[in-house]
Amino acid sequence: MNNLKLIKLSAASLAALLMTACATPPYVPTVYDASASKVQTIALADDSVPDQMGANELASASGTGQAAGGLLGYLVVSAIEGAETSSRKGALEELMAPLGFDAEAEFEAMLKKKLIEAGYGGLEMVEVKRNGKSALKAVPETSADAVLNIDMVKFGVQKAKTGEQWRPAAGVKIELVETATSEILMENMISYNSGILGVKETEGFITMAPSLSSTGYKKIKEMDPVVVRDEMRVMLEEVSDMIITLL
Amino acid sequence: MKNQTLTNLSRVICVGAVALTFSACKTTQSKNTLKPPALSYKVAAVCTQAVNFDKPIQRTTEEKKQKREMRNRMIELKQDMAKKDVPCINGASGEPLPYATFEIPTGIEKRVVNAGAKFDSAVIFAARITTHDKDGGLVREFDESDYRRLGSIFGVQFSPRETERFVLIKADPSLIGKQEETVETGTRAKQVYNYGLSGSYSSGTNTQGIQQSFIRTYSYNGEAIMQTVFPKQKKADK
Repeated sequence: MNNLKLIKLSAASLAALLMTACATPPYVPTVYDASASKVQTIALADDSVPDQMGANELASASGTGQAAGGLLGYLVVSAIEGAETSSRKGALEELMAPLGFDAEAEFEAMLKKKLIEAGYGGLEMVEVKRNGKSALKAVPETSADAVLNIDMVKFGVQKAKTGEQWRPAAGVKIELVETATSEILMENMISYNSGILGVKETEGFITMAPSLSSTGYKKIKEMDPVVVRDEMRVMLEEVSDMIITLL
Repeated sequence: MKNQTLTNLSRVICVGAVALTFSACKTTQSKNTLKPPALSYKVAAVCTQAVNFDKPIQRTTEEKKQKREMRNRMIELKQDMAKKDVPCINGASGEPLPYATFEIPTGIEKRVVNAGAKFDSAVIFAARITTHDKDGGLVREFDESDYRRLGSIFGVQFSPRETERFVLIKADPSLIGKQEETVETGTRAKQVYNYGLSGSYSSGTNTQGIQQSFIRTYSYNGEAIMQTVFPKQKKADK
């Protein structure tokens, strides 16, 4: 191959790379149009919140070292952060254990109350087997018109880097599935305090952030568990409010 | 010598294109300029009584031809509301309200529209959003609870109905001056390159965490924006 051909090939292949390498697909939700739906009764899928709170640091102050670019870099960075997270998670669990805070029970009670206020009936809890997946493999048996399947993939506290403050965070996947047809009537994601905890950072899904009045802590050992629990409750209230607006 | 020059040129193209590839990847939001909020509206043009839908902001002709390529991507149309050529209408009390009209891209089923105002560091355009049919007739208004933060914009998200052709974003005087206070965390990724003498290079990503407090004011300036996201093509459609 002569050099001119090599140049052309290089330019063409790299131009193609330029076009495809960064093509992060946008998130395309399914937006519910209540005026076009007959859903009046809703069942709630259980197992909506993880048993344990997470503690995630997005990235260290000096960066996370050299990694390959693009998606691979993202995965490498995530792996580093994941390793750092486990010991913090243990410390947070130890801190919160005496309170007996049942986030899932509280969250589901909030949802039921708000669904009733929004005019929906039914509201039985239905058992689902997630096996690590958010979406329902099969619609559980229920007499309700649809199943509201909420999977809070992660919940807990998060900080940007060493020296910054831990604040509440969650990543939530939501779907409303019609019982009779298994059709997904609504599907969306909520990222509370950063796009990375639980769901991938892309445009187009719902993003929420704690208010300036929320309490942040620089270290887990400095946390007041009662304050952290109350901050979690504020987040769960805000997230459940948002979910109702999607219906 | 000529061959050597061409080989070097080839290397330059390779390295340049790879650098361009990485720099084109948007890993973080672009730096926001610090604009002060405009709490009053200086009318630059004569306001009309009705909205003019004749010249909506729309995709380029070339983009319209790329129907298939639109799959699995987003088209973003925007308008800087502080510009002098932004049209205005007279509101219910005769107050001038700047507005922008956007044409909703058609042709692909299950597309989703995000419409509203872009988040700036200190400013959000006080957007009130409605959808309209081909004649400009009102199709849909949105409840206050439908307005939410969607990535980098504050606004509404909807699947266009068959009759919906235009999105109208106009200033909402009742929002002007209200503020939102948040603490936000995120990451900023920088692409790093190390070039060797032989023309070879190594690259990597340096990711840093960021925490920042924001007090944003709803105002007459800022950016109105309409994003349309298109679903991935299903195998059955190919």
